[in-house]
Amino acid sequence: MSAPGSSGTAAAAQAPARHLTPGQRRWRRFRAHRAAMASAVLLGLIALAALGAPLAEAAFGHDPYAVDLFARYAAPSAAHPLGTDELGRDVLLRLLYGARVSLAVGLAAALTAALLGTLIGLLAAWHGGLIDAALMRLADIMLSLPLLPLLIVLAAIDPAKLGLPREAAAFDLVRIIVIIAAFGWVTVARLARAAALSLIRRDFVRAARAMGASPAHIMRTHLLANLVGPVAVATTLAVGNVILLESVLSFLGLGIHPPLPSWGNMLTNAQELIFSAPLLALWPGLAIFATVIACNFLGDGLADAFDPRADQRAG
Amino acid sequence: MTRFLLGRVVQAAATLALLSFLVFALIGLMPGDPIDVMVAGDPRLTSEDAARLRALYGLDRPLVERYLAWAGGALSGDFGYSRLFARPAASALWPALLNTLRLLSVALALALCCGIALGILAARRARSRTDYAINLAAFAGISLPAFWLGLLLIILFAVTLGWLPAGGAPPPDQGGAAAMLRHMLLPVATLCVAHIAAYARYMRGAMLEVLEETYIRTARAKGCSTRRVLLAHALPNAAMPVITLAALDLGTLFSGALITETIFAWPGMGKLIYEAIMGNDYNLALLALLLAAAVTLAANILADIAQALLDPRVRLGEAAEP
Amino acid sequence: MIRAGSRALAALLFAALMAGGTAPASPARAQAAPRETLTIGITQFPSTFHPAIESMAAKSYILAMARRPITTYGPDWALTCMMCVRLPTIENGDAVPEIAPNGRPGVRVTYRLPPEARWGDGTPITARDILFAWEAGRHPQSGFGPSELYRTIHRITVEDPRSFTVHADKLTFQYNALNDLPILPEHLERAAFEQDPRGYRNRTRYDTETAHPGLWFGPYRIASVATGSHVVLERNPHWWGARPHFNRIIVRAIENTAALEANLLSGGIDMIAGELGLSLDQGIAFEKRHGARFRVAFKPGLVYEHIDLNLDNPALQDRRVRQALLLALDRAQIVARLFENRQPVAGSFVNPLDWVHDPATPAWAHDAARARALLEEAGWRPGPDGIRRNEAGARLSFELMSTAGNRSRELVQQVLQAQWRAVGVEVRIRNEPPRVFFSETVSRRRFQGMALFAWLSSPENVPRTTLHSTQIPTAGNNWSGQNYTGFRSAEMDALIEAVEIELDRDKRRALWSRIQAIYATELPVLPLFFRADTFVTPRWLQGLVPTGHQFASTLWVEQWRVGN
Repeated sequence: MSAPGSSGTAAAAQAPARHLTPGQRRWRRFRAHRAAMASAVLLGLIALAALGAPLAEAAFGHDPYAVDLFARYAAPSAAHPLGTDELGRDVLLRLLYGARVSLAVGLAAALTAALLGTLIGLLAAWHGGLIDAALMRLADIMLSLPLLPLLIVLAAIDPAKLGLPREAAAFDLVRIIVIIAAFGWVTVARLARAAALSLIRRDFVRAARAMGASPAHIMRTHLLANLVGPVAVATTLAVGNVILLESVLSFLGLGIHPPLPSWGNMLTNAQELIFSAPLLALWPGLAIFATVIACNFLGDGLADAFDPRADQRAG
Repeated sequence: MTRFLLGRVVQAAATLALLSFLVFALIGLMPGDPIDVMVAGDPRLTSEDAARLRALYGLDRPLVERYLAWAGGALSGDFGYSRLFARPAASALWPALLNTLRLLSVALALALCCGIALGILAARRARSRTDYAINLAAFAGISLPAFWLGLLLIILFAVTLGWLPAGGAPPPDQGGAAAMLRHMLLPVATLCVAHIAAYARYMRGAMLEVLEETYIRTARAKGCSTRRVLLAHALPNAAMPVITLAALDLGTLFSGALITETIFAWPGMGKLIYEAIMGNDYNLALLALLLAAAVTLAANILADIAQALLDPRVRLGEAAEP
Repeated sequence: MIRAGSRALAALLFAALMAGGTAPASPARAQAAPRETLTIGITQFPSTFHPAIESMAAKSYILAMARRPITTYGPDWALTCMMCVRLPTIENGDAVPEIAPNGRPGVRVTYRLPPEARWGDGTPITARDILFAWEAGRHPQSGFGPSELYRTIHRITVEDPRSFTVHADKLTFQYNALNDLPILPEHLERAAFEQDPRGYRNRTRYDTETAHPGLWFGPYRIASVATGSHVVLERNPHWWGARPHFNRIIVRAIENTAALEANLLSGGIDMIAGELGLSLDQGIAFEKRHGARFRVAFKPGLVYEHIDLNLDNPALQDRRVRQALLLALDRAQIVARLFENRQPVAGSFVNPLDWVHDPATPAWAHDAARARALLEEAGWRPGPDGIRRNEAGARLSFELMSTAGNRSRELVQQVLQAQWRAVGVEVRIRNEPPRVFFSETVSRRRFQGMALFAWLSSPENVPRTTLHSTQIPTAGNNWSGQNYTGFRSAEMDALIEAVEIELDRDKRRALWSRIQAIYATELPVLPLFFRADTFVTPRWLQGLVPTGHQFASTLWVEQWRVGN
């Protein structure tokens, strides 16, 4: 989703400041991207709220799983700040617990994809030749496949037919992370490969290679440092996309299954009641929207911060 | 050029072959089989009935054997019968494909036009309020769950305002093209919001990049009006990558169509693929998925060719190395 | 910027939602004055259109307007003739008990087709059409679904062009019901069938030429099909019965129920079928908001929601535990709170609307104290975590399984879990996609404790497959039978055998009472409730009578009228 010349909201960051380290310059550029800063704060707050869900649960004194048939569809009140759902469960608490699931899925899938992608990208760049060609063709092919139908097939697989236990409660979670990562590595792999190639061709790396430095060493010292930027950007954007994708899979009945709340299944559940209880659909929808848009802005800000051209101009 | 093309076509064919096996195997890994689906829908079916039907549909044979039989048929143009619709898979697919293409082509064209226009607007007024507003709207557009957006649009435009139909293809012999357009408006809008946003952002970036290039500066120095510089010089150069991106995006559009078609009860490919997969209809699911992949692969190849023809800097045959 | 932006957006979305939720829509919908078209929304699109290949609710619903069964159950749940001149009975001499070739008591029943009956292309419907349907159904490769019917009927003889005699090798009290034998047009279909029985299901005109008028003989015939979208039915000029009101009926499939509701509100459809429409929850909420514009009828029917208990589970083998489990549930409250009393609590598998229902059946109203006492008596005492344990220290904990994706069931499950928790029983919810659940977990008895699902039955349905001890699925019998609980009772077996062949209604009623008493005392199954269908019709539509059983209300579509 990132544009080639990244968004210009970071306008003020162009002034050269020779006495600053690259890290400091990046931080300045990032800070100048106000939307990204705000997004970072917002994401931080959401993450904190998700982590603090048990505290909120203790403070309000009710259980997000506890059914109360006498308090269905309750309006917002002091006891239930966002009201209750169709089973009389507190919507706020469920949103907070849902945030844990949705963010965990988003982060885990995006990080797994980033890791996998970096490894594959580096492997391709380092070895070149046939391995490179094969891996990059694979990446091309992955990009050209209709993603959602394949995800549907994958999400509908019966674990028992693979010899896995069907009972595992965490299976839903792990499966969704694995299948998203299986498709998500491509972007990162391309980035990693490009960054690695441009480095490998530089003299000092050639020299290091010629002097017999181990690949691992060279990768560690030089490559990874250069990779952090683009990969961080891609991963941030991916977190948002995964959260969206989880909601879509939930909508198709293939996401996280209740009673474990996720934003996706809360939204899907609520859309059936959208006429009678529109607020129930509003909250998870807004939560998804806010988180995804924040991830996108944050990614944009990071792209500005790590913009190599800005680095060159500054340095 | 010919060699390059040949290579790409061979590669695409190999991809499709591999994909077909993969999908076949994956559907095989789904819970139950088609007969189980039938049994779940009809409690009067006994286990003897199930066994009889399984033999009849050839489901008692091992997966690989069934795949080879399918592949043999497919190579000679026989894609088998759709179990769900009791018709040749191709004929079950055809009307759905037309419906989806109708939706996709309008959505793609609209997304491109709007995206490019917004991108130019934003680039021209870079760092102005307009730019920020477009940027914000673009970010919002790519951050909405599509089915939620679709539902909101239905509620607003169909239920509350009553301006547009809430979904479905127009009923037979009602209103012709105008009715078709009215029915398409909401699904097309849902489908292209995210894409408009993405193209606008991409276009803006490409535009700003082009504007910095020497020939534009020259044109400006020569006293061309800003409008002229933007439209005559910068636009063609900046639009090309966006159009290429759009071609590469077809796969994503197909995916988006699935959600949109479900919400708007639009009888298209996306919905058909979903039903075929869920209904364990191997032949139909395979054909539909392969077709979707083939279209995307073809679009990719075309995009590469277009890029090569238009941009002499790209030489075909060399993988895009930086 | 983000803050302000998203706040404005939230306000906008909220406004849209609230407006959609509360304001009555008032778009100018130019409905032609005489209302000649009726558009019905359903949630599923039928796959094949062949009457006997693969059964599907959407297909039954649509085809009921274009063809008719020989006999069926009416909205009053009594057996009636649709394609016969009079219902054959032993009393009127149309049915005669005889000894079947297998030496058992059988019966021969003579049906007379209506003299005016003809296919949509004008060809008369004759006994040969029935004979063809039976021959095709018997053929193992034709791909017709349940084969029991075709086996039970060992011979069909053609008496004259308009009458035929069915010879069955079993004389049951339902000897004269012929609900499931489809009438197929021999003049159009026989050739395709005989040429290649195995390929018949792919070459039948029902799917290659669905709009062929000769395939249909109802008040309507299928005029066109847009796969996945809608089916258009037009008045059948050859229909001999009462003339239906509407020129044309369009059935539109919209899977997403929120979109279905939106289509109704925006005028895209006129009504939502109860058989395949809104969930009860949605129906109740809909009635509150739009009761003025639409008539919302809730018809409790023969969909029996219940929990099968796996009687191999040591804890569940104790009858006291099963009774305590039921006593712990406040089903009346669930029905009141979740379903606003629109669906009745079930006392057994027999619906209160069924004439054989015995009101004296033990009811097990909510009584937590008695449930606790029974559990104590059975040796289950509260442990430190509040969950009961027996002498050996085993916890009283079960797994409650059901179909994933059924919202209403998932709601109920969570309430049940909470109510059992209150008497010290732990229940863990684990749901599976329907086909895993039915094809493997339930039908192979792989559920560890409880399986929540529904039975769809017909009036006076003999529970042979679900309660007879020979119907317990095992690997040995190739998993046939539906007695998933593993219930064995010699008395129940005897009663089932007896009730099936008892032709005298009064004697039968006594047998049915005893069956219900055993069922409700032994409780191999925890009865929950009978599901209600939500029929949403415009106020101007009259004459639609929900049936409550699996035979669709569209079987009487010619009685639908426009009133004010």
